[in-house]
Amino acid sequence: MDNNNVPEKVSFSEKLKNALLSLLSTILLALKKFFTLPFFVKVGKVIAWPFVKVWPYIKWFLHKISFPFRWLKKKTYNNLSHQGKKVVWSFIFLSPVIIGFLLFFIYPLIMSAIYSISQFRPLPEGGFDIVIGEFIKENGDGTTTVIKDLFYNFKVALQENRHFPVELVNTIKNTVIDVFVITIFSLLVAVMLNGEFKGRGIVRAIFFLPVIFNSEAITQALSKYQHVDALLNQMGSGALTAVFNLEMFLINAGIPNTLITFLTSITTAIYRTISYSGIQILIFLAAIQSVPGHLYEAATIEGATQYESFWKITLPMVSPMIMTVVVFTVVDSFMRSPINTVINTTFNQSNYGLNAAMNWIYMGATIILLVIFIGLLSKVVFYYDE
Amino acid sequence: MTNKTEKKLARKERIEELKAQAIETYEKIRADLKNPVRKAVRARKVSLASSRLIRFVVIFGLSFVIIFPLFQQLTLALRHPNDINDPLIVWIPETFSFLNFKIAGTMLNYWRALWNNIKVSSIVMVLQIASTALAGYAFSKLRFKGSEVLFWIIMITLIVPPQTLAIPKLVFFNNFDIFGIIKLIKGSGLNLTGVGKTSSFYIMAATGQGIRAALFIYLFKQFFRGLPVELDESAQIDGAGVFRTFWSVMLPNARGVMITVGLFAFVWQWNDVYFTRLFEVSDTAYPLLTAQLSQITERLPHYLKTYGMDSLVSEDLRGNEYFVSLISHTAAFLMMLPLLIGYLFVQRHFVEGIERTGIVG
Repeated sequence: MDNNNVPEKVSFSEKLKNALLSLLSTILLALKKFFTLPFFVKVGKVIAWPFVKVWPYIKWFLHKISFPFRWLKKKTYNNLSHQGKKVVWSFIFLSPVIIGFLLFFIYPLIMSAIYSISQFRPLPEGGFDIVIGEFIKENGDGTTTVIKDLFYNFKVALQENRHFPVELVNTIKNTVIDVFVITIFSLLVAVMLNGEFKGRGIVRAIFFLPVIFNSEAITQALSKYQHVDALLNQMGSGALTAVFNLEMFLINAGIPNTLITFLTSITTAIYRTISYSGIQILIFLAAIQSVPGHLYEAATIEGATQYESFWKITLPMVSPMIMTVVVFTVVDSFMRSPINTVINTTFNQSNYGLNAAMNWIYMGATIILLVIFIGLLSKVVFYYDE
Repeated sequence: MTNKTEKKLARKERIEELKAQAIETYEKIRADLKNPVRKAVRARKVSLASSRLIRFVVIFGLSFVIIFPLFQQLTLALRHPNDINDPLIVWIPETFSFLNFKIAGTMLNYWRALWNNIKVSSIVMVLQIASTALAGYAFSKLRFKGSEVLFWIIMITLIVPPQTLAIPKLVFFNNFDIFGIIKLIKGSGLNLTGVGKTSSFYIMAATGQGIRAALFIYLFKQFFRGLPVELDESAQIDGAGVFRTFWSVMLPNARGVMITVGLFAFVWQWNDVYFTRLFEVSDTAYPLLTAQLSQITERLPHYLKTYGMDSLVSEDLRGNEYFVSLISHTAAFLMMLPLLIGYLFVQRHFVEGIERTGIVG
């Protein structure tokens, strides 16, 4: 009898001890692994564990549930040509914009057209009763008259309101001036910035700074104190003014008064123009960059000066962009004009019908101006076909 | 004697030589002046130099006009309020102090407002980039019949002033709903306007109706149109789908435009007053920089009292208009400062981006 062949009988306590030891060692190993791993992996593992376990089931479920869609895709999309697929994707890509266009443009536009021909009558429980084409006008002595006129709001805006027509005419005048000044100025600056010179990067960075400064909030907040600035200017302290105090300097230099007013008005105008033409410069700069370089090379070989090549090459090639810049300038100039304060007053008075009518007149003026400008420009614009 | 005459002769000779030389150079210069080729070269050199000079003067002057107000605002902000009436101090403050910054900062509720502004502007920026890039790509590379017409219709949104659409938008967001689903669940639509509710901005940005989004669509369209068709075709041959082509081939090329658009979207949202006021988003409970700035002047005396800053500023200054103006200038500077710092970092890519936009008619 060989004792060795018989497996040794392990006592229960021994078994327990072994089990505990192995458990402990696994725990220790796991802990060691846990603590040697970087923090985010630890956290990630702990968080991801349930998902990892559950994810296959979810995937399976989604797969089953999406069966009709997959079938649809197989039947339709997969049979399409590449061009057809492109159209499908085009619609998918455009869907947010189209939804936004309908919801936040077409719908508000129609609603505001309706508002412009209606009167908002405040209800006792709050809110408004919108009545189309019927206006109750208070005569001032307690009596009221009912006016049935679809365009009453427009008439009020153009005939009875004291500020609106004046401001409208002013705005149109200023816009026309702005369009000429800003377009020419930004084209010249763009041509200048396009050339090769030292520190071009820095200069460009400086020229687009006004895009950042040019904030309605800042203008509004600081415009309240314009009279203070003017006063300080007179006193000679002048530190609070936005523009370099040229006036005092020139007066001290003994230059005639008319010339001084002319010069200072020019500096102010330049500052204004610069701060409003950031984007226009950008558009022109990009346009000039895209003019093929061989045109300039050929011109230089033929002996053209820079001046000539500007008129004969740069201007015609950039001319389609002039249209864009003019459109942008008209819109921008209208948005900055003081007419907006007049319109906002009616908004604050809860006279929403009149507000909508004024806005439509404003929009009409913008569009008429744009049509005139585009009509004039389309005769001069040169299209280069490659 | 012979020596003397020799010397004289030598001198004469020398003079003759010099004369001949002078005449020669004179003739040379004359011939040079008359030579048409040299003439043209000279003319070009002169024109180049003069144009360079003019450019330098103009650019320097304009840069000065742009930078100077900034510099002025900074020096003003650094001067102690008590020095404000001193006419002797023009640029460099006599006593440097951060008191103006301190007052303007507390009044703006600066850090909280800054955080809110950064959050809102960044989210709007990302959404604007996403929606307009998709649309721009669809309009340039995924054309279908009538897409050009649709593009120009969408460009009309640039022309229509935002106030025209303001009231219906306000009504819409006051009672927000998606095909009546929310009304079905909650009984009424969601009110998305009011203090701290910025989701209206996000919804508008995501649907391509953010501030001047049409301009961004235009920029993206022009950029993607400039990318060669071969890129598209080779991706198709390699088996990439339409979305894959857009995501992995086209979009990585568009970094410059994306930075340009992103910068504009960020800055315009940052500076936006109109929609913030219309939707009444900002309040003391949820400060935004623009709204805080526009109220700063009315609040100043009250704030000085509540924050115990009365003692810091001498008595006669409190109601002084110069002082109020100074504080609002400082606040405006504080509002611009993060944008300026950000711009310094992005500026290089931004300028690069313009070059690559490649807008063609």
